[in-house]
Amino acid sequence: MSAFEQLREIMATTLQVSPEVITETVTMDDIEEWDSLGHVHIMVALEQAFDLYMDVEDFAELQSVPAILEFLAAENAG
Amino acid sequence: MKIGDAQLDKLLAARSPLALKQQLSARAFTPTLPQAGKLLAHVRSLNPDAAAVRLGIVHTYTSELLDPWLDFAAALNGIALDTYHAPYGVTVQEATAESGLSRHQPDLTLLLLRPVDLHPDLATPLAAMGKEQRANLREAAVAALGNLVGMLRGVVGGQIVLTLLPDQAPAGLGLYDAMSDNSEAAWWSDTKTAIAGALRDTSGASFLDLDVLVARVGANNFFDTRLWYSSVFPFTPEACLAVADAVTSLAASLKRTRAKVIALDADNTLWGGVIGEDGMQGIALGPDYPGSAYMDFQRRILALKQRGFVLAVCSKNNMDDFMEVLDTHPHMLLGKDDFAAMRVNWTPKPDNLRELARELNLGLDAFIFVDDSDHECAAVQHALPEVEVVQVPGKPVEIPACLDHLPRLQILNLTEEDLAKTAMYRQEAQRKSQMADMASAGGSVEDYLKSLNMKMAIGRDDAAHLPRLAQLTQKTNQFNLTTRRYSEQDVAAYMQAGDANVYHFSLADNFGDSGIVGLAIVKKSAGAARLDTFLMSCRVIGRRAEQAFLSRIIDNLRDEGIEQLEAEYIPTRKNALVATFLPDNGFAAAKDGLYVTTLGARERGADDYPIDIEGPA
Repeated sequence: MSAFEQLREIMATTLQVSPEVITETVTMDDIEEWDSLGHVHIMVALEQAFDLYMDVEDFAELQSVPAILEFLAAENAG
Repeated sequence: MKIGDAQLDKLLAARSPLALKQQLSARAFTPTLPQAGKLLAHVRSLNPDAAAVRLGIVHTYTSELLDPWLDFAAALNGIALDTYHAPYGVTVQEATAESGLSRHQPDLTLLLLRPVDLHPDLATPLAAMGKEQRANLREAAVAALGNLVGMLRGVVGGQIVLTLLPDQAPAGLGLYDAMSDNSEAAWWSDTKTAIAGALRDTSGASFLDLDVLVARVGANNFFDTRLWYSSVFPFTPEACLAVADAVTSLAASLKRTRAKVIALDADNTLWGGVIGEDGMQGIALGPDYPGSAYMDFQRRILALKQRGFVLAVCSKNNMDDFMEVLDTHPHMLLGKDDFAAMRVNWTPKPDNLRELARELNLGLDAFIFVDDSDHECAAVQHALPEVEVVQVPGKPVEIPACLDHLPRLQILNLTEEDLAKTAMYRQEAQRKSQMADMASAGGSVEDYLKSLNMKMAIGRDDAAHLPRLAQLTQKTNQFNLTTRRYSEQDVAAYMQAGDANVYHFSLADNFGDSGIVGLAIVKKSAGAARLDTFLMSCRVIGRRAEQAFLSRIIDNLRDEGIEQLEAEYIPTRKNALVATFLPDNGFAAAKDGLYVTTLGARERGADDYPIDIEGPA
């Protein structure tokens, strides 16, 4: 599975939305379920799934799929 | 611990919510949120008819992030939640009839509070305060809490469960705290005791101590400082799961059918090995592994007995072999007197369980069956689906904890009757054997009842017994005319109302004291009255106590000027026992399925009961 496919599965299950909603360009503003609570859920889920540690400052940066993918690549996760 | 892909597949093959929960607990697994979502879907498919529980959350820190964990833990505990979160930080304001909380009509109201909510001085270290100041602070904090819980009690039914967020900072005096006269830890511990005491006085309220969960999970794994400082949410996923499990276990113990009996296998359950083959020297039970695990399991079974669960044996052994272990093994913690009933023979276990249910006068849905064998577990599950089956794990080290995770073994209150329950069931067995002896000697039932020297004490509107009286309405299924379930606050309201009487009775005889075993609630209007509730514990069936109780209630109502008593029988799957109780006791069928008796037409104290009766007082 590609990093994006893994991310899509994690985000879709966490936000309880259909996987099609999670595209490679989608941002927090595009998905109703991706609100501030949903965002914390995604951050926690990513940490758990990829064994990462994120800083509070990262939470604010990672509000789109491209930003998250870039972060995961830099962390060499996935 | 993380769950790998292979582990996840195993978990997704679990055959019951309980089996899945036990697999998770045995290795302290915490799923990721996506894994929890998959497991939740699996558990829901196993148990689509899970009992629904309405949860209301009043919180002064973020609570919504708990939701996926609450739903997951609820499913593991056999329930499904409908959750309402009060607005952030809103507490007393929810204590109105129009609030969102009231409108949600929660079965369980969860308070997620911080100590500082109880008193502003709790925001700063306590070590500098004098003794008196600290005592005053405790008193003020407990009073504020009592006030809040009392106000909420006024608008919500069900159970109120209070939690206080444990401190994330070390004690003000650091490692020296334990040595200090001004120890914050000691102050906090005493304060929790005072809070629990205050909540005991409010019916249907309880304190859930999160410190216990912190100790289990470990503080470093419990608190997430990033989420705390950025989102006012304190918990790691491990903590979320622990908190959610504790809350939903209590909710499940409220809503699911009450468990009353733990029926235990012997070989490879109470000890390692097979007594009939390995002999006294060969079975594993003692200070060395694996006997140490079985000893610890027995210790935990004894603890469950103290929670009010009745123990029984259901095993395939020769009785002599089994009794030799019970009577003479030096490391056997469970003794003959710990079991209310035993079936040690070679009969199929479903048949033995049916017999145990008959002997104890309890429904099979009150049974938890504990056995190591795949075959026996499957046979019982198949023949008696209403029995909850717990398979003892194959690894000895996992055995002691195998009953720790059953929500139906959690309790919200403990009465004197609960503590003495096994003894009471044993007394009942002795009564039955005396009756059989007398019958074979040609004596009548009446002779037998007289020989018991029964003493009945009837009380009225006695708030001291509220927990037990509410418990009776919750637990009594068979001898129960209307099966109306009441909370402590419901019963208290009837006691305080001028137009209702709440009667109860206790019964003692040569073999022991059965405690409070009967309850009646009568609603009155001008000249007439309605028997809203009339029930009796199955422990005392067949001793004419129910007739004596009814007769005294009727005398008491007549003294109050009541002329007519109406009653009804509401049939359920379990109360056929009382289908003809009303016509058998002088009530005439009337319209709308009601029964009526005219008090003036009944002779006062006409019946001669084999019971020495006192009250109602």
